[in-house]
Amino acid sequence: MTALLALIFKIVGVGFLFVAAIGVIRFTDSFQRMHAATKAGTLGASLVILGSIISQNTPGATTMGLLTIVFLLLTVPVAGHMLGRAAYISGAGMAGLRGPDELEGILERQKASLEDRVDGRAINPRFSRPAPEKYLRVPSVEDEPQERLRDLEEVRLAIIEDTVDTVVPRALAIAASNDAHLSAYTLIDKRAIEATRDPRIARADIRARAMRAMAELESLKGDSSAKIELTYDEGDPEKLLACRDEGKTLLVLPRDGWFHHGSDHPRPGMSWDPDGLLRLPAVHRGPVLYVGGSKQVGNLVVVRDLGEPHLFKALDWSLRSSVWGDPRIVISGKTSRERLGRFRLIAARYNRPCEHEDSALEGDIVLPQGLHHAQAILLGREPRPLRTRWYGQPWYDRLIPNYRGDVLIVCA
Amino acid sequence: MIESLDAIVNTLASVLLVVLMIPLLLTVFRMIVGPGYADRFIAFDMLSAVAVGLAALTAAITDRREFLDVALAVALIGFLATCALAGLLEKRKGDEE
Repeated sequence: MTALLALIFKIVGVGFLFVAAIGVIRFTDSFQRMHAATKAGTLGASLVILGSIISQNTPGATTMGLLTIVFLLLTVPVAGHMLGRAAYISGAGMAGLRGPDELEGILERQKASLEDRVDGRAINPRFSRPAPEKYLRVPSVEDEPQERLRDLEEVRLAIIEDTVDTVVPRALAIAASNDAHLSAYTLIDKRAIEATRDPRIARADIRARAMRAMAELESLKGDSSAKIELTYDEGDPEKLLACRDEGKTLLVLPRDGWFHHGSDHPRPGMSWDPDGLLRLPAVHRGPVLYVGGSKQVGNLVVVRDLGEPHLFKALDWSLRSSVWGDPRIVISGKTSRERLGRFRLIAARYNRPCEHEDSALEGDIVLPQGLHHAQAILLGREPRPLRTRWYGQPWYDRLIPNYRGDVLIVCA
Repeated sequence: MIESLDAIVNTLASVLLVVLMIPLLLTVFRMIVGPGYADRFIAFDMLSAVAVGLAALTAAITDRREFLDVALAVALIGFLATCALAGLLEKRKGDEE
């Protein structure tokens, strides 16, 4: 009986090893292959060992075998993680990736894979068949939907202390020019309270600050006939501001600050600088405007083109909603002629001049010198890394040094 | 009856040993073909897993527990080698001048 049990274990184990080997052969890129090799491979080897110790049935063999299984279970994930990290950093191909590269900007990655850098030659084309069409993530112009974002109907603004005087006038102006509904969100980040040394004091302080901000809003609103719907809530701002109505709602935010309203009650040995502000475009699926608040900026809107397929819709939306008056438009990036043509078409629809500044934008580097007087920057995705401060530099200064203007982020 | 069952089970284990040659060859193929260094290192990782399985099967067939020690040693060497190769892959800058 035990012999039969042992045999079953061995057969199943060999089967898993078999499946793992097939995965190593058939998957598209190194990361998928590793996924097959480490998971199925470990399980297969462990089951074969288990079968072996059952059939031997001696204390020595059992100890040794169990020890080997434990060792395998402990080491293979570590080895796999190290190998995956190393493969990512060394620039191994990711032909099978379907979504966006989530690690971009978090880990430093070489531009070409190691064999290309060492040998300076292309991979033997005989063996590297291209990934199946459906797994490729490169967006093409043709298959992208042509529809536009919806018309602006609601302007949401975040009331954060110290930034009310920059955010509110802009939000009022945009709402007035679009005849949009205006709602002000005074939120308090619960985690910010819980992370402090004394939550009771922190809560009282943050609430007091939020009240002050709301009072400021009242005074700024003045006698203007605009009706502002006021929302007050405590919780997770990323959940409270979640929304996906594709351009119907514009979220107006300050460039700095968070829903702890500038309070500072850190735990000892812990500096707390929340980065939530840059995560909001991912939860508010639609346009998010970061108001710079400076009047002395040029009449120029820079569209940073990294090849996002929805950037056309975003530009169209921002011109239709006249977020910036009558700007000149400059497309910055390695834009193909085809894409540039589409940008020009959209600009022409609203009678706006549109130029192109060819610049090899690699990720989130500074925009070229000639564009430093920009009034606004339009981004198709959040700037990476998602840190409001990176080595002491505020995030908008990574786009243009000492930048004073607005940033509009529209995520897909 | 029991003896004959044992004999059959033992024979089947030997057959499994032969069957395991197929994953071994597939992995070796991936190691030779690549196309990248990362793929070769992953093939090596897989190869050590297959080798552990082979050692364990041999232990069952020959009824000698020493082969389980071999399996542990192979797993250990595989882990260390993978770590070293990952370090190499991460650090190696290539010809960038």
